[in-house]
Amino acid sequence: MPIVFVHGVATRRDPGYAKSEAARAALMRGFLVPATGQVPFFAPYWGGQAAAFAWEHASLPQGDEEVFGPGEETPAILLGEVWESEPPPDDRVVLQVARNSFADGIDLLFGTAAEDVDPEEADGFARLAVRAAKLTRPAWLDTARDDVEVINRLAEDLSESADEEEAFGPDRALLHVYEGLSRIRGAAGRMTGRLAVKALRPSLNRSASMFLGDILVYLRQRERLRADGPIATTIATDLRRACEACTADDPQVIVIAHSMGGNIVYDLLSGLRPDLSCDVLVTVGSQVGVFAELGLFDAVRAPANPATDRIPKPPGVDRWINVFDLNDILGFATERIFDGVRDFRYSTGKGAFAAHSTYFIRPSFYDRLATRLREAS
Amino acid sequence: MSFHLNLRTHEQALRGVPVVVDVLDDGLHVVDQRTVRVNQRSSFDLPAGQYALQVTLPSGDRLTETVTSAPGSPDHDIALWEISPHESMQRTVVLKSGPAGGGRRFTEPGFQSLWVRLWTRVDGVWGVGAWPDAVAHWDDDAVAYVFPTGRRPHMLQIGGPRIPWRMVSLPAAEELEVTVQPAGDEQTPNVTLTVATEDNLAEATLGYLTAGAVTHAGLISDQAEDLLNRKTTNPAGAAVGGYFLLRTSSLERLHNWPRNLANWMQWMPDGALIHAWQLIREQQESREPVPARLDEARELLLVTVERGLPVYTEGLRLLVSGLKLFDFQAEGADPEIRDALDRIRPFVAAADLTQPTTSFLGSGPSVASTAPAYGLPRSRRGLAIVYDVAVADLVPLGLVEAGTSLWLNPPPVIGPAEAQMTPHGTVRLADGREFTDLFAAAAAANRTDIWYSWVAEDSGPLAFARDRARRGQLPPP
Amino acid sequence: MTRMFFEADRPGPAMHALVIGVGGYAHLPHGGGRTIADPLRYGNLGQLTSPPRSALEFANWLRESDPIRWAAPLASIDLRISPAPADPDPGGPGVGFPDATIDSITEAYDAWKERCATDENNVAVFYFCGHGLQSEEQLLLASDFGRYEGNHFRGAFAFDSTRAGFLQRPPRTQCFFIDACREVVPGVTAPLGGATADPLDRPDATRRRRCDHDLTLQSSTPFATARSRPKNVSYFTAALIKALKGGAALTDEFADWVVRTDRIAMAIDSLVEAEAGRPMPTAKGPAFLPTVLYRLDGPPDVELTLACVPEPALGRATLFYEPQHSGRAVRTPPMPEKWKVTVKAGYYRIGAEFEDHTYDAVSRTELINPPTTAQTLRTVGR
Repeated sequence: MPIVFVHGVATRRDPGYAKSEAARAALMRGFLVPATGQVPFFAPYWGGQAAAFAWEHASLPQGDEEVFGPGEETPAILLGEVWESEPPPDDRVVLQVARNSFADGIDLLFGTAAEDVDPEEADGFARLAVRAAKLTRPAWLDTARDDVEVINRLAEDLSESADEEEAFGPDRALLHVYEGLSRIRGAAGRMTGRLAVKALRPSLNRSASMFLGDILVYLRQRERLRADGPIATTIATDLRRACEACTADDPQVIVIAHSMGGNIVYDLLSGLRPDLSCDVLVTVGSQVGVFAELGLFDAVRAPANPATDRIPKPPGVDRWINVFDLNDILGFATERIFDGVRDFRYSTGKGAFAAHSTYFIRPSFYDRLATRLREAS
Repeated sequence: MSFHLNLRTHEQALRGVPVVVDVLDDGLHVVDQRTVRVNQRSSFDLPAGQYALQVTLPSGDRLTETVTSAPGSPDHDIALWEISPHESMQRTVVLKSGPAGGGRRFTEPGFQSLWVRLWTRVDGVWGVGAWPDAVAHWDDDAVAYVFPTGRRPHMLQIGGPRIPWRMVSLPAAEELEVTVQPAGDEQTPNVTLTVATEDNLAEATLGYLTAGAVTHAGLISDQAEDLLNRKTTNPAGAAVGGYFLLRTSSLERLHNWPRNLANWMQWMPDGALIHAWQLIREQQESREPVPARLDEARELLLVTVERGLPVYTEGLRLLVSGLKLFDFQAEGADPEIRDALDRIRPFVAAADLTQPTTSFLGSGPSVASTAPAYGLPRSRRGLAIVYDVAVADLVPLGLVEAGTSLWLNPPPVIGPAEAQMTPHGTVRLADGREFTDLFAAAAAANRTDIWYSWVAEDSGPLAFARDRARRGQLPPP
Repeated sequence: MTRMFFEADRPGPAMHALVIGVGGYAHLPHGGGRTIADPLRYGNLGQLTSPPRSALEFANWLRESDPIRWAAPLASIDLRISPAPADPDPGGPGVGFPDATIDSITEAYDAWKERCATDENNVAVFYFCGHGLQSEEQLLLASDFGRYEGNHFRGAFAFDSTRAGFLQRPPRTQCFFIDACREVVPGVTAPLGGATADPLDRPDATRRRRCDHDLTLQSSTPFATARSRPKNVSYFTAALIKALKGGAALTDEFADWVVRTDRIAMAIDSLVEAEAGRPMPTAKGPAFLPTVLYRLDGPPDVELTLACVPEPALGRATLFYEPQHSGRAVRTPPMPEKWKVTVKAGYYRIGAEFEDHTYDAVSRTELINPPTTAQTLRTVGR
């Protein structure tokens, strides 16, 4: 089951890219293809061909100095999404979040830890995350005193008897979760009241400007070069390689496309490259619906009767699932525009912060996605 | 009766490397064990009959050959190029242990934008210098650099988008040879890095010591005293000789050279350390302890820490055990020793003690960390790309301007290539590689490099941009 | 006085072994005792089923080996084992062993040190298999690690200093085999001051080094993990036993097959790789002058692989090997797979013949050395 992951806007190959790519690939493999060994995995990187900022983001409003320490931004964003009021005491952050929603607690712990997993440890970490996402709310949550107790109890619930090999030393994957706790604590300690929003503002601004930039660059490339635009070519090449990697025993290609990546894949499959195909297309936090309404795709014509007229899904796509979070201001629905697509809502919680960028670090997201994929087939 | 053995190489720099050979007769008795030298004919006077030669290279690799001693029997040649993938690699393969090959290629995605830079300590301050104008060979399975390190501390840093950042101490040399080879597997690429000075005796001694073959090191290192004695011309070799004599407790053969090494080569921490251990070991062996000498040893260990990390891993190991020795002696109540231990502790925790020269995971010479960093450094200063630049990095590194038009030329033929048909039906290329498949031989001989096919408007083939990156000539931001 | 696993009266120099296998950790999760607070700071160290079996295998092999083949005949084995709750009887039902708590290990170490000191030509063998962590030296965890809340490492000992201390004790030949991890965890790095466990022995600035022949092997390099299949002998221990049995053997001037300390150090990595199916490099200790540790009673086994170049010739070749002074072994009919056989080390005539005359017959004489030898026969098609 070859998997193609097409990233969204504002993705650049910075020092963290290799780690997050490895963690994401491992999580996808872990959740979506259980008990399979090596799966061909393609992650076309098109951020390098997208928007470049000539003044290096001088157009961004200048915020305060960076408030968060190294690695604390992700827990701050995750926490910001599920916690509206004053943050909990810093030794009980995960505990309080998990008491409200156990899945949020797992996402906070594993989403933070995923950022620090070395490529060589990604598979072990993904296996642990898969088991964590399957846990139901444990009874000890009501009596646990602090976060250290929470993750120790969790580790106990997650420990499995070694079938293949036992190690005469620590469990690296669990150690990452443990080390992530100090960053969660650091983020929470600095997130008092409005300060949090203010502190994350520059990074949100930056994402928004990159979002605009990446869209404009893609559209301009398409206008000039059609299917030969560098971004379109990069993604099309990996779609083709994934099809070639299919075997008789394993004939399915899954394409998972985030945000702008979804719009591009739709654009390719519906018009620019009708020769390409996939068995399942998953668009996540995408704007395919909005682009269609604005008439930005060749394959989409304005409806005579918007109440009843629907655009058929691209012929090369067997099944299409569209996932969006109601809190994600950049994720949109598709069912009332297209035929043959199913919308699924995925909710991160109360806040309306930066859901757009956190789908792919949450074990709960992959877990739900796996269920939807099974239903779809 | 006699026969002649010749370990042959085309590599001039390997000429004279001492190698230990065991000779077994047809009843498996070891009848001779001696040092032979590369590219020098050695005669073995032995009764007529069949013998086995067991050649143990300083790398720890062993070659076994059977020979016949008979009147008029031809010289027995062992071609060292047959065990090396490239001519430029022969010295590394003979002298250095480590996984050779493994089938990885630098052209694989995991090695793109792999980079190196060189740190130098000047007046006690570490900084990244310009990438040296090195003699270099770029093959897709090994990249070798040769450059001088001179009389000051140097560290090489290597890292990449998928390779953890690592610091490696470089010994002082007029011609230091650094070889980088791709390793690991597809999911977790890694590199092996070997470092060799031009001093064949010191390198062979170090090789045997690292492989655990102390007798072999001893056989070739009857000249270990010579090594130490040459300290003014070759301080790194002197350090290796000193470590070897300490390891074998040949204290009387150390003479007063470690003291001179410590005094004259203050930029090299190993000198003070070897002297400290000479004093400690002499104390341990003597019947009457002289407290003043132990005080001097303690002082020298503290001086070592001030001077920096020892160049050789053997030194790092000795530094820790020396400091611990005094820590135990003082029941933990010696604050200076405690401070020194605290200073080096992170480096020891992050060090790879299996490497001959001090190596640790870290983002700089003063920062060791067990949580490795990945990616490209933000600063382009002194940065050289090891093999291929990730296409996505061409613009950010300033090698190609965004918007540059490219066109594709058909791949050029870089020929003609020379090869030889062997008696056993293979095609042998000039570098020794043999093929039974003509197509594979042609591809290997021609080395079609797609970077020459893509041509950028104004600046020529992309290979030119890549070559600038390889030579550390990135434009300033 | 604790009962010894093996004891024999030997006049003159003798070999004394202390063998420790820690699988049950009472104060780590599922260990049966009070569990330490926040075990995750050490990376959730679990109960281990392999170390007791590995230690037992090593001790049994020492006991069953021919005593006179050692550099000094075996005189004592002190075996301390803490079994894991999931595998309570590694030695079989009803077979118990003295525990491997830190007190028990310390007492055993002191007694072993005294036995070793009786003659400077004795051979000292120390073996540990169990959990390990890395500080500025390797820390080895006894079965009561975490017993004292104030300092969990009172149930552990620092290995490198212990080793440095023992170097200054008799005898002249010393072997230390450590089969444990060397990972760095927050529980070790977080406490201020760093040094967390005491050694069993301490080096002294004024004491003489008594060890001339050292073989110190640690199954993992820093940050690396030692591993095993559960309830099996660990990869490292299995490789070590193979090395001693002859995998690291060579002949000496009397044509005897001997196992020397330096050859074990040089051969161990490839032997471990053969056990684990992937490279797992070990770390080697100071290694002074080598010495013969064990003499075999005959040539050791070698895994010999025969192949042909060019490859298609293999499918047509009648391969053979012929030891000195003995008959030829032949593979018929020809097969496209390489021929893997176990033979005794020594000189062999090896070759390939072609009944259909598609290739030229080839043969040559080779010395076949342990542990594995691959030979390729080059031929020419007609």
